[in-house]
Amino acid sequence: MSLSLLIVEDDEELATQLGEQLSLFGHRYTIIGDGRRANQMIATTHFDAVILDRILPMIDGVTLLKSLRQHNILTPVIMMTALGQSRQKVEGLESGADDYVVKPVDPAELNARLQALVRARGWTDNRADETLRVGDLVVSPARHSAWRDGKALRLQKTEFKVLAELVRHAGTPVTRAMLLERVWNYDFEPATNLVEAYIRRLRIKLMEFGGDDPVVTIRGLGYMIRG
Amino acid sequence: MIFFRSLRALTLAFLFFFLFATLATAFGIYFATLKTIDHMVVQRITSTSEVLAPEGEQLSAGRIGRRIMAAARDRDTGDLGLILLERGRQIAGNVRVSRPLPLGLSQVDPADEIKGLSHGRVLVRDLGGGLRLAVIAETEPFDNYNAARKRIYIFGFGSIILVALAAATTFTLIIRQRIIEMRRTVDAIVEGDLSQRVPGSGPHTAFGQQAHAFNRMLDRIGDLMTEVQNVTNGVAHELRTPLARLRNHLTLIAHDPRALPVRDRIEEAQAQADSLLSLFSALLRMAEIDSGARRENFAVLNLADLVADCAEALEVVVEDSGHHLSVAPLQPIFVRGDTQLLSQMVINLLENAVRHTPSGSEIRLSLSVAQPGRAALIVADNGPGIAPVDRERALDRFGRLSRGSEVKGHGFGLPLVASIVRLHGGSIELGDAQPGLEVTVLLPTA
Repeated sequence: MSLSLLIVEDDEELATQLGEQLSLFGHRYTIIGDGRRANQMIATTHFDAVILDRILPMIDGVTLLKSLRQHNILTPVIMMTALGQSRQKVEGLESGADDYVVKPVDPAELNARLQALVRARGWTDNRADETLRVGDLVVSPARHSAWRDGKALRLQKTEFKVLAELVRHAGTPVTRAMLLERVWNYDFEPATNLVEAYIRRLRIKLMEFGGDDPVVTIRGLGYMIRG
Repeated sequence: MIFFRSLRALTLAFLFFFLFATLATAFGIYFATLKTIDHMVVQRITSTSEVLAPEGEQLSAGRIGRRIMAAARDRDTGDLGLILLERGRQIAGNVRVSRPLPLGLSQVDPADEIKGLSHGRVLVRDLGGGLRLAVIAETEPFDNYNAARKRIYIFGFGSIILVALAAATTFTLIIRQRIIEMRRTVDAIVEGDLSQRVPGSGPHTAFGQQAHAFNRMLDRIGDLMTEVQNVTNGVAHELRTPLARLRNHLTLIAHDPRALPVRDRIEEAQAQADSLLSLFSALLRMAEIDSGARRENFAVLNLADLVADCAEALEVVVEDSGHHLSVAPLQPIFVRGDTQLLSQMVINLLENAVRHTPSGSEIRLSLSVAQPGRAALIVADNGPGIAPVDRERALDRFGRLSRGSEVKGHGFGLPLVASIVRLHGGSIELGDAQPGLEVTVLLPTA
């Protein structure tokens, strides 16, 4: 999915590098160096998503974001925060950011989050419980149950959460960090292969009644269920 | 001198010695005065007796009797009791006694029924020829003075003792208050709140100057720590950016079909870059924890639920690695803390046990109230453990880096746990599980 992105970052070199790396994933990008011009640009031009730095000249990232949300501009926004500054993350999310990435940004991680964000834009709170269908997989968050090819899967609570996250973003990669945040609610990366261990169990249970492995491993990044 | 290291012991010792010295002085004065008075009374009755019947002069009974009567009328000797006895029978005198008086010095009291005299001293001299002269001096005025003196001593020295006691207590309380204020400041600083300072009490007081000097020292330590943190953060941030770029570059190369024959080696390089990146992440995370900024996220939470969730999350990893995890029954224990950090603490402790013990090892996890107001989280294994000399270094984030392989593998997991525990006002101890490592974390309950 090619996206039209706005990068709001005052470090020109960093912004250009990030734009070039994102263009390798097929996205188009525009760079704006300060908050005030970014505000005007977002109000007049359509973007699929905004990548917003926390610290900016004129208007800082959080103020800009609050202003956008107050004016009911709901363009998905990913905040870029400094590592070891969890306060920035909390401020960003409280101000209306949809997600955050830690600097230095890993382009593959950012791409995965952008894809997930834009796809999930359709999911609002009252649809979060709606049954999800991908190929022969059916996942019902409301009933906490999943079926493959009509056969009920015996999944544990966490295995179910992992599957639901993968199915919700079917066709786009879900990174290890995204799974840790969304399934386990961890803002840190455990030293052991926690995610891999659950994926391994999930795969076994998904193939219990036959069929191919629907989970694709994306080396060095995460996992994906084919859309 | 160890005894005097406690403020209370020092105060008690001071009071004891002060009391001892004051009472000794009071009793000393009392008994010295008593002895002097007694000496003066004895001297008076001896000299009066000498005047009435001088030594060596053989006077007739009649003459002595006349002298006695004259002395009894005299103003200077009118308060004395004078008796002349001949073969035990009183023949002259101004008082009478109910019993025979012994020779030499003795006491008389109300039992002797001497008219107008209650307490006194008596000197009986043998004058020869069957005559005996008794001179009695009344000590009652002195006894009254004695009672007054006792009162003076009790009130005088009593009030001195009370004043000293009040002074010592006030002094102790003031000193203790200063020590408590200083300790609170130190505790807050140890927990990472470098903004705390000792309250001052005026720049011209000794305490105020001491507080000022202490605060200046804290300012300096704060500056140095900020510098160190800035350097650490700066280095970590600066190195992370090119490292992340290098890693991205390796990812792009790995996807190139021409790299297919060496993909394994590229992935190895990627893993090394990842390991370095996570090392910097851990350093930055520790810097954030040590700065105390995460204290803003603190909330009251049930540690038992958190521990159960972490144990459940790692169960799969534990089983896959061939370990056995047993969790002791958990009772609700509430603490004030950061959910994310406390989860990371439990996960790190369990991972530490998984990673540093051979397959088949047992890992035991328990949570209890160890002492009032303290929750104890214990993670023990039956692996190789850590030698006592290496335990402290295992908690030191740079211990492993500086000493190479001696505490190999215990990495940043335990130092990070130590930082989290410190932020929460707790303590961590590495012990011997006999065999294996036993990590005990004590956290204050909410």
